[in-house]
Amino acid sequence: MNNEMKDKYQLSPILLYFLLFVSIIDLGILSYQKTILHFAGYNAWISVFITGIGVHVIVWMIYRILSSFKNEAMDVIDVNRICFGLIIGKIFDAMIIFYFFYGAFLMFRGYLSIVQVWLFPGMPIWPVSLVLIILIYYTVTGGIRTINGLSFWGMLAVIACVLPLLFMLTKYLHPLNLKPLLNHSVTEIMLSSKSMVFQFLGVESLLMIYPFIQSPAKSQKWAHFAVLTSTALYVLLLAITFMFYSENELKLLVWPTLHMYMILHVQFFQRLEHVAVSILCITIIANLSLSLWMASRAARRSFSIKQHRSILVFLFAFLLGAVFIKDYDNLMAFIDPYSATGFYLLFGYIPILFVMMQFKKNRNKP
Amino acid sequence: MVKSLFRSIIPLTLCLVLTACGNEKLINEIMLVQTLGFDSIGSNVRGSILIGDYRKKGEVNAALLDTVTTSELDIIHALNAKAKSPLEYGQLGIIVFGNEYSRQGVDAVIENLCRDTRISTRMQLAVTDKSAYDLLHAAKKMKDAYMLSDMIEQSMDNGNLPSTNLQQALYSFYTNGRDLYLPHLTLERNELKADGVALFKDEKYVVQVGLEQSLLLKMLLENTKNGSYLVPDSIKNGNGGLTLLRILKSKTKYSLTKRPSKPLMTIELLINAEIRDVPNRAQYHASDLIPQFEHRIEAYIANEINKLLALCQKYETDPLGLEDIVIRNSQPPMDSSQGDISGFDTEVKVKLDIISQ
Amino acid sequence: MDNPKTAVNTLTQMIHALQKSSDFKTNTIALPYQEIFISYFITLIDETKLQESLILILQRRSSESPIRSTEELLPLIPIHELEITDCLEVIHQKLFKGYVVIRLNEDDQKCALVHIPNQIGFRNSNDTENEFSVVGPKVGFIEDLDTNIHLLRLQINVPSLIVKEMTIGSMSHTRVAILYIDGITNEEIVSRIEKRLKEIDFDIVFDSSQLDQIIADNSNTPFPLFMSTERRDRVVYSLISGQVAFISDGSPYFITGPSTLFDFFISPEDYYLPWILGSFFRLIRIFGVIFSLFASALYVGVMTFHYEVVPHSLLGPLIYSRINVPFTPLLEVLFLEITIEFLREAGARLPTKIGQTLGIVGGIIIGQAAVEAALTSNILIIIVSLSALASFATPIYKMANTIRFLRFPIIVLASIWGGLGIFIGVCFLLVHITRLKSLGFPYTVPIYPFRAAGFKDSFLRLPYQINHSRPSYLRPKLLQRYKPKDVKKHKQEWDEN
Repeated sequence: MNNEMKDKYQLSPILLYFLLFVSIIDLGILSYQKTILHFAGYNAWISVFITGIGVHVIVWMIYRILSSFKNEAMDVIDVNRICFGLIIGKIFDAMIIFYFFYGAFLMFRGYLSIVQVWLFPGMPIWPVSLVLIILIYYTVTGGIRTINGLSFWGMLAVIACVLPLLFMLTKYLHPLNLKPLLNHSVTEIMLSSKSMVFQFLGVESLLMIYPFIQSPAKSQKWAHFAVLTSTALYVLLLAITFMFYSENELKLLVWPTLHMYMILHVQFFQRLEHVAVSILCITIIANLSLSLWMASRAARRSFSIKQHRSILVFLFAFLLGAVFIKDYDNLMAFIDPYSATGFYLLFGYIPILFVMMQFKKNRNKP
Repeated sequence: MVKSLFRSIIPLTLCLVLTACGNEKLINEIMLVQTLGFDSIGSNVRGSILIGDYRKKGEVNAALLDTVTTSELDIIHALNAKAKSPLEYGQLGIIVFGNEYSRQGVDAVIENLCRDTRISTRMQLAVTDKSAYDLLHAAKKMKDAYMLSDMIEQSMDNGNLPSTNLQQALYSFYTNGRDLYLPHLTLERNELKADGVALFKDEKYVVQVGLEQSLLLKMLLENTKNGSYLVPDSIKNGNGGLTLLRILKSKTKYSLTKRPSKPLMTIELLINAEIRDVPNRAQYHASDLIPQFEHRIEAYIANEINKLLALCQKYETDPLGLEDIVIRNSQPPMDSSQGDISGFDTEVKVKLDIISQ
Repeated sequence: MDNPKTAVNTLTQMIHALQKSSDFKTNTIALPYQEIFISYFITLIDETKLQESLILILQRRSSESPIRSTEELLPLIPIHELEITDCLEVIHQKLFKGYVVIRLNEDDQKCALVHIPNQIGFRNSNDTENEFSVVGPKVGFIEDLDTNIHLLRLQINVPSLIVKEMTIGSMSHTRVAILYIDGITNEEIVSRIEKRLKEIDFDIVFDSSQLDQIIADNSNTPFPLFMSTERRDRVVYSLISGQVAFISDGSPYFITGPSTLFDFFISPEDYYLPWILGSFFRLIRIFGVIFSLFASALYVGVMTFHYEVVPHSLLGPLIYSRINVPFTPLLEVLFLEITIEFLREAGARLPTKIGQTLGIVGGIIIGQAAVEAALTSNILIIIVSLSALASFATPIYKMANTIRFLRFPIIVLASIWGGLGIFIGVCFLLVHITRLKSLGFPYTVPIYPFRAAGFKDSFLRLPYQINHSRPSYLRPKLLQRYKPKDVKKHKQEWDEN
């Protein structure tokens, strides 16, 4: 399939950084401490490092897959076509489309439940859903450039939200909590790494964005830089969370990061979690727009469904689903299969594609 | 066609949306609960609240409401029946536990507070030896609903109380090797007074220490920048007389030494203090007398700290978190449930520097 | 021809038809050997100049020998806008522009057209009241195209300043001039503007801003996509940065494009003051705009939903200020904002003497009375008036209007969802301005697409040493404006300097 983009529509390499950063750091930053605490306890920050390194390897693999043929920039649809042929390729495409859509939906509903718990208890879900859906539609119809612009602001929003936590909490930190440094077995640390992969599940956006980047080879360093900064952010925030809370308390909290905001206060503002949840709206919208854009674009390239139609279908499904899921506990049940799928996509499907593309490339050589 | 339909739906839905907003809490139509007190009456709980009343310009009044319910979780809702506007406790400044109530255990309230998203973790908790209702009543007479929390914060900033708030309290409560400690309030001739620290064993209040020992606790827990300590000694001759030391800086170092029998925890406390003016000032310029004075005071303070540690051991409470340090530092790592304050010895060394004018 | 009843086929018929207007005159100049017929509109012609440059010359020339043909008139008359034609359309057009028709015989089809316009009715100078600056030249444009171009040429006196003229407007036939600097400006920008202007179908062009709206990339946005200015230094600065300017005859406003969001926060004063002060004032402007957009909305959000955000010490004054107000914060804010809008609209149209008094009285008394009657709170009056003031911090009037307008949706959103509503509004705004394009170039350069070099002249005005190149998003042919001065390295000792 001819996938050449006119130079006018392409993004310069540095802009890839914002897209990837916003894909990776999304809603999970508010509650990820709980999930990885389960196996490795307070040694979990080591798991985050390990996951980060794994993701770096995956990014490298993605670049090798998508640049296998020098003269064209491919995306995952093309790769599926090449590796699996037409019919099975389309099946995989459909699964990828559904995966992107499902991930976006979970984040959408998750954000709404955070708003419901922290800002407006008892608020009806459908008005906010409707307005957010209109906003997402407006963003997605602007194309990848608009989404990129919004993700720049999303990145600034995340930095603005996390910086106070890194610098203003020094009075309440207990560095002793980080000791003992290693009292869990390697298996437990690896299991925590596995559950941490869920937080890095934005990296596969690279699979669809690749053709839109101007000089793909130069952009690789920005992709790695995005993963590096996300890992650093996760590790730092985790370290601060561990120094701030005791383990028993952390097990009781659902959103530890938001809880940490309660103690901050500036001259004429206190209770900064209201501000934090509202500011993160920008990041969430950028993230959702990107996922939905990728899903509708994959639908167009694979099944020739017009992007306008597919986006409307997705958004309508958002509204229905948001109204039918009643609360956060309900939502948790839906997250586990997504997390498992994401793990196998990143660490199973992509290596398989890598190996297969190596064969195809070698076969094409005389 | 779809686009134009969509575009006409947008204004329509926005009109609908205006009617279905989040729940409004107009700031002048709610009553802000600023102090909350729990007492136990038999097997019931008596909750009392102070509400800020801002109806007059420049003047703040407080209204006191109380009721009796079977469980703490119910208090705010039960009190709503007595209030003119909805009660909101997002601006809660302090929760006071009455004597009986805290002796029975404060875990119900604390576990609720841990997960509550509406309160601020900067608020204070306190224990009193009278009933919380009496304290709130005295605060109401002072016409200030935030009186108690401001008073405690003032003592923490400029006085002898170790600084704490809900966050620190939750931290101490939930960590396995530490125990909860809260400021202690009392009524002295119908005036409110912050007179020490209440020590807890797990969730029950066991013993109160006075202001002098609170200062020792404060120096051991954090870098103290103020606080005053009266020592029964003076530079002149070492017999009788009193000197008031004003603490400028304190630093503590905890180190664990492994010994075959029991590990030894060494507490090294470094204090910078200055002497407040007392008569016979001329004597204090004799600089060769000061080192001797310092040594005597160091011994005195070390002795006092040992007495405090013995008291903690007697009541099986550990506000300093020594068990926590032992558990985390020992090799092989001890299970957190094994630590026990009698499982190690403590040795206190004090170094005092008098900063002279 | 306009009048379908009488078909006008010859020049004679046309002149006869025009006699209906009492200001159209046909004169016969009696010369020794012949008669020459001149026809013109009295109201469009400078009679003195007609006498001097035309009639005297003709009399002098034809005192010797008769003038045989119209072509002989060409080298004779010392006015450069002279042409010989027999095309009725052209003659008709030119008559209305201040041309005089010269015929040698009464039924000649061919004639000479000489341009002797009357320059009265125009201002002598333009005090740029709408774009006032304390320091720096205050040269502004007037409503005559030639004078304006003359003013520009006085400052940019190189041959590479190109002026391209065209006519727009089926009834007004307004001359529109496009200016750019050849060798610097990207040719694509010029061709885009030309193409768009040529495609316009309009009747009367009153002002250049009408053209600006018609050719704009997106006419559904409250944001201005082109800069319009009547100051000469702003236009010159745009031209040398690589932008293109156009203006229509009869309008003192030059339209320059493509512009970005930050161009609307730049004031010429920033360049006449030291760079630290210039940067400081820019930051204040940007802060003022942000404050103006969000202050009232924050008030509504905090008062309605987020009472926990207020620290203890502020609770007293805030609650007391609203204690007897029967309205919700949203209604309070809307009431005050609309009052301020009334004051502004009325104040803009009242005659000066009444306007000042009414403004002061209205503002102070309405404000005071509203607080006394407990219709609004005094804290809110401070906030609303400060944000109204701050919205005028932008030097360009168009942007100030946009800011004032954008406040209202954000206030309404804040009243529905509090802080979250404010940020949903912010999201909409951000997406909107990211999607905007001015002449095909993105509107939010240098923030997005991110260009580090573009920050030298946006939030801060860095010194001339550093700020020596043109904005790169315009893709100019020549990037560097001038060579910066070398900074001397201090190899000498301090005391020997």
